[in-house]
Amino acid sequence: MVIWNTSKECMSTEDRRLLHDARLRKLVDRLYHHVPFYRQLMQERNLTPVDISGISDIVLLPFTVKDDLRDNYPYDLFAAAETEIVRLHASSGTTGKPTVVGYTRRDIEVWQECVARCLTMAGIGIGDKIQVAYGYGLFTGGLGIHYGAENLGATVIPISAGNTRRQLDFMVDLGTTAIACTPSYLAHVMENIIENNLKDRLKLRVAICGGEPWTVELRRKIEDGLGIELFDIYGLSEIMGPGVAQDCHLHQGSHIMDDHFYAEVVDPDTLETLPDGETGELVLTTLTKEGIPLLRYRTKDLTSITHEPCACGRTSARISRFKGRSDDMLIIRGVNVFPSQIEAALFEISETRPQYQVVVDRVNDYDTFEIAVEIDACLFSDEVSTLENLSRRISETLQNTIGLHPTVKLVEPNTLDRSDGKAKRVIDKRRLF
Amino acid sequence: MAKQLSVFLENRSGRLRQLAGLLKEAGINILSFNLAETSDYGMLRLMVDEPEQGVAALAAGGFAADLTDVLIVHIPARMGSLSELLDLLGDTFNIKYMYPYQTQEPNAGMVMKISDMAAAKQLIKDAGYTVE
Repeated sequence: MVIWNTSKECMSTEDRRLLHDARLRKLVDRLYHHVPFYRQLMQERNLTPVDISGISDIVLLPFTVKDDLRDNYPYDLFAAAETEIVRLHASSGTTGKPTVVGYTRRDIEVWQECVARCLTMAGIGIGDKIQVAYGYGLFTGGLGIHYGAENLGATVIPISAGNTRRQLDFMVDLGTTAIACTPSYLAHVMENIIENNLKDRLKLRVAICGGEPWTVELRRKIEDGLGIELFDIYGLSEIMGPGVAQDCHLHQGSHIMDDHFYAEVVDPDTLETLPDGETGELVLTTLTKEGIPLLRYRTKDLTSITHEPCACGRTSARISRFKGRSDDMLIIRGVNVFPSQIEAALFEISETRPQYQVVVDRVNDYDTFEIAVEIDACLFSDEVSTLENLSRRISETLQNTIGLHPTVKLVEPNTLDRSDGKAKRVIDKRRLF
Repeated sequence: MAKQLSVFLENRSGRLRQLAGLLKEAGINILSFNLAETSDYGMLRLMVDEPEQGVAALAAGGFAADLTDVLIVHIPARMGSLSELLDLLGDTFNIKYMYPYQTQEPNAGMVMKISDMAAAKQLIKDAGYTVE
C-alpha cells in the first residue's frame, strides 16, 4: 500500500506532539497580531500568545462558530493581506449571507497535499483517470479534488456535477478509473449504469464520496452493485474543503490530516474536551492556514476520535463515521441547508411569514425536498394563475437562496401540524446516520 | 359589482362535502358555481344569496375564503349571443375567467372577471346589456 507522505502520515507520537506545540504557538501568534477578532477574544480571557506554550494549552483558547464568519463577512477574519489571497471560495451562510474563505498560495499547496494523501489512501495514483463530478465553482468540492488529483499526477476529467448521460459516456469512452462525487449522486449514476448494461464496459475501480452523510447500507449497495471500492472523504470550506480527513483501505475511521488540522471532540453543551471513544462535537484548529486560520472551529458534526495507530501504518488521529449534527442544519443532495434560510426566503415573498413545512425524504437513494406553504389572507387569490405564479416564485426564491429546487405545495391554512402554536418546520424522513 | 365567494380547497377527500354542509347549516343558498382544479388544489367560485354571511361562515369553519368583485352580465339566451359579447370586449379586455349564472328567460347570466372591471362594466352597459 502506497502512502503519499510517510514522514507526516506515520509520525511518532512524540514528533507529532512537538509539531503540534510549535504550530499552535505560531498560529496563536499570527492570529493575535493579525486578526482583531481573535486578539479581542484572547484578551477577554486574559491570554496573550506567550500563555500558549504547547498543544495542551489549546483548551484555554476560545472556540469559533459559523456565525463568527458571517459576522466578519467578508474579510475581517483573514490573517493575510488581501493581495496574498490567490483564491476565494464561498458557502451558504445560516441566514442568506454566504461565508467567504480565502487561500494564500501556500494554503492551496497544503490543500493539494492533503487531497493527494487522501487519493493515495484510496489507491489512486499516476495512470488513474479521475472524473471529478463534484460541482466546480465557489463550492470547494470540485476544485479541491481537481488540484489535489493533478498534484498527484492522475489524469483529471473536470466534468463537474450533473449531466448523467455525459458522465456515463466519458466513463466508457475515456476509461475512467476513479470518480469523485456525492454518494447519492453515485447511487443515481449506478442505476443508469445498470439500466444501460454498462457495468462490464467500465474500468471504474474506486469512488471518493463525500459532501453528505451516508449509511453503511448505501455503501454496500454501491460497492456490490458496481464492484468498486468506496472511500469516505471529509471536509468543510471553513477549514479548507475536501481532504481534511478520509478513510484508508481498512475503512476503520477516517484519518485526519493532523499535521495541518488539530482535532478535538467536545461535549456540545459543556464544551469540555471528551476522551477518545466518546461521541461529541468535532472541533478543528487549522494549524498551518495563512489566509483564514481558525481556532477551535465547532463543526457541529458528531463523532468520536481515536489516537491508536492504524494497521495501515498511518499514525494520524482517526474519527468515526458521523453520528449526526448538533444543530438543525440539513444536507440535501449534498447542499447545506439551514431552516433559517428557508424562513428568510419566505419572508422575501410575503412579510406575513406564512406557515410552512419542509419535508425531506429519500426515494431511490435520491433526496426529495418538498415545501408546503399555507395560504394565508395575504397570499390568497381567486385566480389560479396567480397561485401558480406564487408557487413558482417560492421555488425560484428558494433555488436562489439555498441552491436547491423544491417541490412547492400550497395548502389550506391551519392544516400543518402544530405544537405550541407553531408549525413543525422541518420533517426529515431520511435515516442517514 | 357583484360579490363572488372564492375558496381555496386542497384536493383532499371530503373537502367539498364539508363546505357544502357548512353553507347548508349557515342557511346560504348557492346560485351558481365554478370549480377550477389543479393537481394539488381547486379554486371554488360561488355565487350565493348572502355573500358576506357566506364568507364569514366559511372563514369560521376553517376555509380559506374571500370575496371577489365580479360582473354578472345578462345576455340573450339564444345562439350567438356569447360571441357577440366577446366581440364587443374585443382585444382591449382580458377575461380572467367566466362561468354561467342563472338563466332567467329570455336572458342567460354570465359571471365574469375582466382585466379592467370598471371600464368593462361601462362598455357593456353602454351597449345595452344589463350588468350587475
